[in-house]
Amino acid sequence: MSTVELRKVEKRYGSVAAVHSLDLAIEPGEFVTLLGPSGCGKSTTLRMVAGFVQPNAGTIEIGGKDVTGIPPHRREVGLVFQNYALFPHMSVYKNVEFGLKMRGVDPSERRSRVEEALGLVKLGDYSERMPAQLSGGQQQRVALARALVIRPNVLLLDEPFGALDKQLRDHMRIELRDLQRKLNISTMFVTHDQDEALSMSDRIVVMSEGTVCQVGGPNAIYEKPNSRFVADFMGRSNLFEARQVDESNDARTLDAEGLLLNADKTQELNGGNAIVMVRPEKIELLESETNRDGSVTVGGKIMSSVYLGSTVQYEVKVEDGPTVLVVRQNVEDGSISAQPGSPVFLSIPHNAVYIIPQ
Amino acid sequence: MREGYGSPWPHRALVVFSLLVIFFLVAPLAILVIQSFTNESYLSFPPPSFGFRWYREVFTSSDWRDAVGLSVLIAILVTPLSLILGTLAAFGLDRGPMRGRQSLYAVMISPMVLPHIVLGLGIFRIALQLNIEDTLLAFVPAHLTITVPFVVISVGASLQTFNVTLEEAAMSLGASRWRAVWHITLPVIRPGLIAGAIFSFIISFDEFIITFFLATYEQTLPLEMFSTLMFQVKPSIAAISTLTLAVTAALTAMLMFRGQILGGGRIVK
Ligand SMILES: Nc1ncnc2c1ncn2[C@@H]1O[C@H](COP(=O)(O)OP(=O)(O)OP(=O)(O)O)[C@@H](O)[C@H]1O
Ligand SMILES: [Mg+2]
Repeated sequence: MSTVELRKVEKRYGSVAAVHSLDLAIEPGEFVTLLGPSGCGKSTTLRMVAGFVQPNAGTIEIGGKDVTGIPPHRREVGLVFQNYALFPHMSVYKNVEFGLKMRGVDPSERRSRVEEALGLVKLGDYSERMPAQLSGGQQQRVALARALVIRPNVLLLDEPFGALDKQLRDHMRIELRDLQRKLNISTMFVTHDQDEALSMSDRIVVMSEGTVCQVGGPNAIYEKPNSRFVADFMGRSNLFEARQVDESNDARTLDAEGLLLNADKTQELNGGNAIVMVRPEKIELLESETNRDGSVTVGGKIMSSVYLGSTVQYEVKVEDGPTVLVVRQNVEDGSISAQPGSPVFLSIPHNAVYIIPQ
Repeated sequence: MREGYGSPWPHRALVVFSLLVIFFLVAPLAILVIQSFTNESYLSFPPPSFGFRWYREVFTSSDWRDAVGLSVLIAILVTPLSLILGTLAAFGLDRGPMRGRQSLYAVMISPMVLPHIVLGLGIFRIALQLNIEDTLLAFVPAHLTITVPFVVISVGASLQTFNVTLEEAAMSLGASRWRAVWHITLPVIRPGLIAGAIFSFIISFDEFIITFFLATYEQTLPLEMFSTLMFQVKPSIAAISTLTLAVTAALTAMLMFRGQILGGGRIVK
């Protein structure tokens, strides 16, 4: 039995559908991320699960119980907001205790559970502080403790780290994921940051304009996007219009806007045309023409290079072909002369060529 | 002395001007307070002798005691009612549908700008019709018409800065809507509630024009002062004025320092 199940859920504002015929299930202990551009309906979906937004159609189940139409306070969900939403007139302790009080838990049990929850987020020593006396990261940890202490069926987080700086955000990701695994709590996480989604999730739900585009593990979403939109949204990619010009026993030869590529034949090609994706970090840059098995090598010219610290990003114009984005790890310390205008060779492995199903 | 900022004269002129304004505002009150401690049977400045004669007179006279009692009674009844009505109205305006919100707000606070003499006349007509003139049933609602707008404004301002996700957080933690408002919203907007309550009390305690229409035998403090003045100018007027001034000043000070005295420190965002 799924912890959360949405069936054909629909939410319209006026004539616009914020969420359209959405099906989604979260399994026990699973970490599911809703990912998509601004306005695609992530928050609306989350708020329907929490009970603050009523769907126009469809049903929502939590813990096997139909909760459509049941108010938020009887849904057993833990909610964490981007702006923390700590009660400013209550100490950290009182904030965390609030949910237990509302549930009529007796005082001695309250104390032990609050202390346990604050211990989980490593804020045991801060219980008498007021929220205004905490840093952003600490406030968000209190919010997490407050949501977890009631032992909800599902933890809902709407861009919880949006207000934190990058370093703290990276740190909180790890902390949240560890905590989630330890407690084995089903979690629905909303973000528009693909790195966040890739690094934390068991499954990612990519949304666009109120509908689900693709559901899958981080690996599947990144390596095998089912549409141009997902490929484009999930990190950098080279996308080419391609048509088949030759085929052998195990490979297809594709003409990608003038660049000849070999793709594994296991990939279906509907009709003669397709969009192919090559991730820029899978392309190798060579100084001289070297032919390798299972790769195609083509010559080109460096148009630009951008130094990004751990990686360097190049734009390479292929002779009589497209401009290709290449990202290399910054390990060689300048063995490729990065001057715009220098001639280079690109080595593209067959298995890096992915045909987007249409 | 400030140096290097050009001529000090504009600065000095400003100081002198401010002192003059303060003098003209405070001097009449100061003279009144000093005169109230005279031992003579007439008002003069400076008084030839000092004592508490007129304070004793005020505290022992049943007319004054009854007037103060009635004014306090009305203000004590008006304040909580005003707070409840004004707060409900402010919530309605804040949370209700957008359409018509502005005009509804304008209607609700209009008693603040309407001439009180017109309001008084209107309320007097209704009171006559209902046969409740000269009773609390008329005084309290009449005062409410002019105190409620102050609560609507002060609570409304607090609600505008209130972060509604706090209520949602409370509801997700198991609080019904009512409990969320009671445990979270009301405590957070408390400074606005306190301001509204103090305004209501002071305004009701001070009210003259509308009460004047409604009262015949019953006398509130402002009415009693007025009718005393009509017959004779005795130092007891100065004494009662000084007492009123003291109460009003204390409440206003509470209003100004409510953050420190009643709010337990400002809430920092
Ligand atoms: N209360 C509302 N009234 C009208 N339209 C709304 C309301 N709430 C959301 N919408 C619309 O529904 C759509 C989805 O909004 P939603 O907040 O779910 O987006 P989101 O995916 O969370 O975006 P973001 O990443 O910017 O937070 C948007 O087009 C938005 O304008
Ligand atoms: Mg959102």
